[in-house]
Amino acid sequence: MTTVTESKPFDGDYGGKPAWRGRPRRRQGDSEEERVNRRWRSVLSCLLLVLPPLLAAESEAPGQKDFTVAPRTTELEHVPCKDCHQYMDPNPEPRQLVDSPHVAEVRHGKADMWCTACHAPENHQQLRALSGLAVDFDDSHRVCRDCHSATYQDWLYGAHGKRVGSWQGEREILNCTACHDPHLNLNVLQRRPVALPGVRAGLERQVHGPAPPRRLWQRKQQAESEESDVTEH
Amino acid sequence: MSPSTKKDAADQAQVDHSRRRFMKGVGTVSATAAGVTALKPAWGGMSLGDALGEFFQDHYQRMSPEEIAAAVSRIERKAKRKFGRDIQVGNAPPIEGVVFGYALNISKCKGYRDCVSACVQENNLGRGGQMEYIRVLELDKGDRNLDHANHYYDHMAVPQEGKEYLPVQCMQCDDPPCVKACPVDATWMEPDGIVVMDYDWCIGCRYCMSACPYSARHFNWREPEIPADELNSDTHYLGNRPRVKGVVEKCHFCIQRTRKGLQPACLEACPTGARVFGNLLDPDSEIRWILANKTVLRLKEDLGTEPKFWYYTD
Ligand code: HEC
Ligand code: HEC
Ligand code: HEC
Ligand code: HEC
Repeated sequence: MTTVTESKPFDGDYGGKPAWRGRPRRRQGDSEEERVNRRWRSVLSCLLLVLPPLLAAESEAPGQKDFTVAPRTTELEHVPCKDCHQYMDPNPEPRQLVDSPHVAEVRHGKADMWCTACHAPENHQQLRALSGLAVDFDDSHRVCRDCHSATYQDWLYGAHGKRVGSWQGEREILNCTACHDPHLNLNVLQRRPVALPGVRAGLERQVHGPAPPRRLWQRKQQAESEESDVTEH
Repeated sequence: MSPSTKKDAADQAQVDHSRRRFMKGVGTVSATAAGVTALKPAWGGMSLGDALGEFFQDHYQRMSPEEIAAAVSRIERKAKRKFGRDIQVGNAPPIEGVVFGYALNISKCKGYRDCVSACVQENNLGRGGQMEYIRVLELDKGDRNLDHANHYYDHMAVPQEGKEYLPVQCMQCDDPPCVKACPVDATWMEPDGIVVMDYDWCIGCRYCMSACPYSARHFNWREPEIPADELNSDTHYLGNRPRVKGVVEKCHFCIQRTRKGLQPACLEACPTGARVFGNLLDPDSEIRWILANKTVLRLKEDLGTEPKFWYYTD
């Protein structure tokens, strides 16, 4: 898909050039009717560009290998949600959820949003994408897709996120939520690195007393004096 | 290495027999002369057949399938004596139409060193800290001078503010200077692009180490020490089979895993997904997408070694 960086409203006139180069120029001497027609055409073509990624599933990606997304439901502690929520009336009002046993607020980067941006208010067992699509917890990447399309594309083609299993054949991909908690800690946490690299043999720091003398005869002298120490005692 | 005492006892009955046979001069170099093991310490605890077989073992690429099979079982017996464990030494050939490549997202690496320890475990590296195939370099943000890098960083927590992390390992060059430097052809590039070693052919001269611009080759200055229960028994002849003192070794893209279709151990261990592995000849592979759509760089590209290891950023 091409990216249109022009911020001015595009009036559909290519002027012999691709739309994404230079400023759109209005052709002189066009009637108002033609201009409106052109505008309609441009609106339609924009929709054609925008709609497929919103509607289509994985098939939107030409050349993308078949893949499965590693399931998440098994990892979630509050599923099934209806254990509690069938006894509660849905309340889409943004508020501090003081009584809730689970996350009580959303801190999603600088974003200002409420649970309903991603959770279907009437059915807690399902997520809801911005496009209105009902999404299973195992497919939560479809929720992220609507707002993080660039990262989503990277993820789809393998430059973001992680492949597990095989490098050939059908891929298994980790879901976004395997690494990002959409509620509170989005970014990777700090932690202690794994073991320190070893020091090459012979270059270790001396732990027991001073380093042995470098010259052979000095070592011999030392060994002899240690021996005489032993015999004295 | 000394054979276990249990085995000694079991072999006791055979000893006299085989010794008599040996004395009589019948002593043909039969690999089945297991009883000879009791005559330690001759041939380092090996049977005479194994000792001779090892001595006359040919270069990997020159051996017939039968000779390779014999060498493999010899290596397995040797590991059994040393570690008391059964290992499988694989010999999987390169896959047709595959050349491996690696890409690493520098903006994702957080310096956890999970890859390093996974590599040590997977590839049976000596635990005495002689070497690691992967070094995670720590650099000041924006600093591109690798001379300023430090891979012994020991913070309570990474990533540190104002630091960047850059893992380096064997670049699997397409025009590998180490291969040109080796005087005995103990190292070469396989058809799938992996630069491998025949550890039994290596004479330990370390020319390859000084030829490598990435310091990616490592020498066994002493016998690698691996706790027997941590030994990875799934090995490959050109990969992670147990090595001995005095030979050079290097990263081989986990040949024992990747030729079976698995991902390398470092990739599997990476928690941030910074590592991408794949087939360069497959136009739909992840790595090809990254090469086509991301800004990529290779280390010391001006040397013309054509590394098959790319770094990219988001
Ligand atoms: C152990 C009981 C329990 C479980 C299980 C549970 N919730 Fe809740 N949930 C609550 C409580 C209590 C509140 C707070 C209601 C309040 O403060 O008004 C709440 C509030 C919410 C809200 C705020 C909107 C509303 O309707 O009140 C959302 C969204 C929500 N839960 C989603 C979920 C989802 C999704 C699941 C399943 C993954 C889930 N919950 C599982 C107890 C539960
Ligand atoms: C940015 C989108 C987004 C917002 C906003 C959001 N959630 Fe979620 N939520 C998700 C996703 C995606 C999952 C699935 C998590 C996973 O796979 O680990 C989830 C999972 C959950 C779970 C199940 C977690 C578990 O471990 O059992 C609960 C409960 C929940 N959300 C409650 C809420 C509540 C309450 C709010 C509002 C205060 C909220 N969510 C806001 C996207 C969101
Ligand atoms: C309704 C739109 C929306 C949805 C849906 C959404 N996000 Fe976000 N996300 C945002 C916004 C806005 C930001 C804030 C960007 C910033 O801080 O600059 C953000 C920030 C982030 C960041 C941090 C980026 C940074 O630069 O620090 C991550 C990671 C992230 N989102 C992951 C997710 C994941 C995973 C999902 C799916 C479960 C998701 N988002 C769903 C809108 C959304
Ligand atoms: C294997 C783990 C992993 C998976 C899976 C993953 N991410 Fe990320 N993501 C990361 C890491 C690591 C970062 C870098 C965070 C940092 O720099 O602090 C990141 C960064 C981000 C950012 C910040 C902007 C950027 O590109 O640096 C966004 C937005 C984001 N991820 C969204 C997503 C979405 C959407 C998905 C699913 C389609 C996803 N991630 C899947 C690990 C992952």
